[in-house]
Amino acid sequence: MNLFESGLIYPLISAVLILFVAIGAFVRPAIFRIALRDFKRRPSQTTLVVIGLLIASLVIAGSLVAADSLEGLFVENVHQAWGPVDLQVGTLSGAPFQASKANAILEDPKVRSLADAGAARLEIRAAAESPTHETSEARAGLIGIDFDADEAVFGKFQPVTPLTELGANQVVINQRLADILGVSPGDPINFAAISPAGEPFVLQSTVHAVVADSEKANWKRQPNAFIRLSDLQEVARVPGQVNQVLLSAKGPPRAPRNIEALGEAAVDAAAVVEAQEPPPPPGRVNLALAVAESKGRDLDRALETSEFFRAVLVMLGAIVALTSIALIVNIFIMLGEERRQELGTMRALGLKRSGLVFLGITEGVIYSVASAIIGSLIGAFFGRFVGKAMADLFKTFSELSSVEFAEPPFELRIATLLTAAGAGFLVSVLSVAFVSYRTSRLTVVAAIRGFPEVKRRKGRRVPVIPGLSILAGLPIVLASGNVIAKALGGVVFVYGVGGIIARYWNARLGLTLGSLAGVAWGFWAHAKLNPDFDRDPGTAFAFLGSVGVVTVASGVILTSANLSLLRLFSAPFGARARAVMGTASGYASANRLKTGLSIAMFSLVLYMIAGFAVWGEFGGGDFEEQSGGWDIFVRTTLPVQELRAEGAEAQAGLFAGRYDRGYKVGQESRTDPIFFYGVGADFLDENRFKFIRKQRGLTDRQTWDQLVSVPDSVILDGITAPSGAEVGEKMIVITDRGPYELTLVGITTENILNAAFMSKETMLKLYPGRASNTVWLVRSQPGVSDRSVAQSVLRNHREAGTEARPLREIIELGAQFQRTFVGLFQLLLKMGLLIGVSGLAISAVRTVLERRHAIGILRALGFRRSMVAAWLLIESIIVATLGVLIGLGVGLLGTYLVITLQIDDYIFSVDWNQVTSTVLLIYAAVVIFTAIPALRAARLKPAEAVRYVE
Amino acid sequence: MIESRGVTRVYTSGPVEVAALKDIDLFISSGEMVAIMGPSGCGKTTLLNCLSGLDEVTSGEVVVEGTSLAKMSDADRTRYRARRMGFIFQAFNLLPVFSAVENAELPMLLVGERAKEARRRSMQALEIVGLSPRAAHRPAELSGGEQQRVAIARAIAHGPAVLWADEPTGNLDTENASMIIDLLVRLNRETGLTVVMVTHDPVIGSRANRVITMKDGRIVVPDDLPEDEPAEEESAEVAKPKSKPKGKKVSSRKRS
Repeated sequence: MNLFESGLIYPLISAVLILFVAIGAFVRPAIFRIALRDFKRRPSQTTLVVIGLLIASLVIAGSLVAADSLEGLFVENVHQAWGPVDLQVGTLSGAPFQASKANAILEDPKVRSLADAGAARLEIRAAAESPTHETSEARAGLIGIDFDADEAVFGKFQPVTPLTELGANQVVINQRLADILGVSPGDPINFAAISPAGEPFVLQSTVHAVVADSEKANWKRQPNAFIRLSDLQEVARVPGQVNQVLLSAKGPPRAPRNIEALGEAAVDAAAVVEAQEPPPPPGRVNLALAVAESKGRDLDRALETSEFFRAVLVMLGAIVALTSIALIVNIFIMLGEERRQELGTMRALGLKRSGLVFLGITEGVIYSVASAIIGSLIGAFFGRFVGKAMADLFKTFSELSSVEFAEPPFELRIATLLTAAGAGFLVSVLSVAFVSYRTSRLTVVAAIRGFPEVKRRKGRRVPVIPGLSILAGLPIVLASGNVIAKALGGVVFVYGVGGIIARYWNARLGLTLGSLAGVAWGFWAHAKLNPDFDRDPGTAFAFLGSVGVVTVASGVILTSANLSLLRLFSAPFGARARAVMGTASGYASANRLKTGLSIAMFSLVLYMIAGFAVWGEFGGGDFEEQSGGWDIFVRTTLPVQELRAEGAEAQAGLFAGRYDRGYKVGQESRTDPIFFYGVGADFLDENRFKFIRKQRGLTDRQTWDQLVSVPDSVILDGITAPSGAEVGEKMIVITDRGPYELTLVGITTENILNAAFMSKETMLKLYPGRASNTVWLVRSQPGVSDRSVAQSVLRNHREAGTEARPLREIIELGAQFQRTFVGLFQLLLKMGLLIGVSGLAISAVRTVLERRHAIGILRALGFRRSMVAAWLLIESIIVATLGVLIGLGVGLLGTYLVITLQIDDYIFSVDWNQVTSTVLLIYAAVVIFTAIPALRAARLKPAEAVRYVE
Repeated sequence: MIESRGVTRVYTSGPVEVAALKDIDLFISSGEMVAIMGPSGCGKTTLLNCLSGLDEVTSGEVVVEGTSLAKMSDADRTRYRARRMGFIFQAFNLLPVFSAVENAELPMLLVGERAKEARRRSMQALEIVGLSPRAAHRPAELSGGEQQRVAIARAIAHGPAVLWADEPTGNLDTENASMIIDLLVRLNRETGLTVVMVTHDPVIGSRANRVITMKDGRIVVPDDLPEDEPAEEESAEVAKPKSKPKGKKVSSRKRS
């Protein structure tokens, strides 16, 4: 097992660290005892710290468990859809072939030696209708099987109603179809479909039995009806023919099996069968049999999809972990300051520097163990909630198709929990170790007497780190092919230069210039270097997560280095307000590290929330842009020559075909299933779809007309086109006769149809059998409701297996899906905001303790109670505001730069509701959490406060 | 026992350099009780910190029991402090999370002394300072005088050779201050413990065997002293006890 890939390296290192502390506790019991006592010294503060820290573990665990659950859902879906079937042998277009060929493949000795079982089927997508109940299902599977042979592959049906031998034209239906149609055994049921030979047919049948939705009956997770193979062959007018051979490799269905060898054997067997085939009649070709590793391909897609979500979720977890680091560093710096005198005393009494570091680490381990365990356990259930919510979304969205999603499994893997707890633990302990090292460098004498730390004298040494940064950063920028390394290399370089300026000229100037250049470089990298989200989503998210964070960090450093400028903002106010503002900004700028870390906690989270507020709006929502001027989307199973739609103003019939064989645009390959639409003059005259990309100088209409004027041209939509695709590039698709080349003439802004538009002539070259309209786009007359038009289409064409749905509903559902999904990501991020808020709360509580003396002096000098409260409140608001501004600024501008690079005419759109509600939430939390300590500070009596010694 | 040779300590604050100690030569014998006195900011505490190894010197050398502190690493100096020195501070500097006895045993535990032995010796030390009945109390439950007595117990429990006391009575009222100084004198006399204390209180200083007076970072010559404080000897850059007249310029006022 690879410890790094599995993530188990984190719990392993954690265990080593805990062991180290345990040994240390045995060897140095005094230090351990101090750490234990400190832990329970201030229970409320300790509770806040543990809560802050456990949120990191919680979000990490939540992200990982949600990712596991999604992966489990996608994989489970594939297993349930395909059952034990690994391979499908058939023609690429689904055209039928002689059953004797299927038998020859099944009887092939090599295939038999590698396969557990195999069976031939005739499967047709059909519209099912119950004349008794007047119910219908537009897309059911009508499957002709040899009941005995099929049992060898799929096992037995699990009957819900008694199942005996089928009579002629009787069907066994699964529970799902029975529920949709409301039918039971004995009820008539009709099917309408286009046969694999391209002929429409109607089957009038009777329900013989209902079977449970086991793997066998729930084939492809769709409503299914099973009929004797010979009956279906007859009614579909393909006597003695089947359209697929299903093969199952030896071994348990969910275990790794030798599918590759079986695939090779099947390919060889198919080749032998084809070689024996007589030559085709003149003008015809023999269709090649292809072997498709259907289940494996779907499993790969499932893993690919879940990897995408995992990448997003892990990035969110990482952002929250970074926020948590800022919190931990801030807290332990504060604790270090609070206990500085004690630590100095211990150093005087004989505690070495390493002892102080060990003390810090021990305390960190105590805090971190508690928070990591509690956090990851709560996080597991939080992750379950997020995973379930995401899975439910998929389920809702799948209403658009007839494919049902599996119930999301609760994937609670021990390894994931350990990884989350370990990662959360390490984040805490390593941050504490860093701060402890910093604290251990205190000057004993100054610490004992409570004097400020003596500034170390600048040595005459060569500035090694800035020098190395320049030497390392520049070659990476110039030579590295990795965009993330290139982007980060630039940042390292500019900070190196800043370090040199700081060393030889002026520290603040160096920091300011370095961070300013860091911000500028970060934005440039967003615009010019960001990787393609389609091609490599993992790298793209890692890029946003790293370069974005570095840009935010540079913004925070730039702000922290120039906090003294805050005083300028107090200038326009009256005397009293100026005094309060000046004090608030003065204190905020006096401790740059502490203020900077607090700003970072907010800006990191806001950066991601702002990014998602843009991504959530990206490509969704705008009805005109998405609908292209159409109101209703109609799909029929049987071809319809003329659509009868009462209340329609315009309509266009499209040839339609689902394409699932992978395609290439330019250098980019994609495997997702898409839809080919053959369009004619009615569509070209009436559609109003707009373009992201088209040939320069052409109008939208002229671009659409290119489908007719440019031979074999294609227009893709926002979903099917790879993000870097350019007009003029070639799109290669696979047909039964081999690869076919199309020319890309435009990319539409629409992204709900998952479409490749082409002329009807071009479509017929790809699908010779699809010379009929099975998809219609309809525009309603003004004042007529889309729903009533859709209802009339359903009424008039029920027998054709019709689905008619207002586009507004589809678009809204899609937008809602995207928004809700993004909302779930934002929910995770808002957990990160809790860290920021708890950080400010701790800081406010500590501030009152630390500044009692100062508060006393200011009260003695004339500060009213309200002014003291306002001062502390304003200071917190200043910190939160700076965090909000930096986070929003980098998030919005960075995302804008990333998207506009990929889309020419992108109209920048932000979910301002999300942004404003988050910002309001932050301010509300800041005011609430700061108000209590601020009011407590205001109640201090000046004389007591001045004399205050803790 | 403790000798400083040309010790100078310069602090830097931005572009400004301040010499807190200027070329200090000093010898303190074993078993002496020495008071370092002088006006605020004259360098008393800095001298004590440099002699005890809490602070580093800018130039010169401090030799304690024949070993140069400058030649020791930070870790060695720390270990040496823990084994051979005891400290008392003006603000007591007890750890608030520990009880009196736990505070007293801390230095021993830090150098790896067995817990039982550390407890026995710290109880003994508390007995000496008269606080054994309050051994289980935390600093917050003790008066200022009691806290300083715990600090003394902590400083003597491990049997150090030198006790450094920086304004040990600075935060106490007269009665408690008197009690603390009595205790230090008793320890010095009965156990032969070398005591070096910084104080600005002439009454407290008068209890020491020898007083070293400082001004502006130097050990002052008698002419620099106020007229009402008679100097016994001519100027002294090196202050040594009369009992060990090794130096040429001695400026201490030995009292019995």
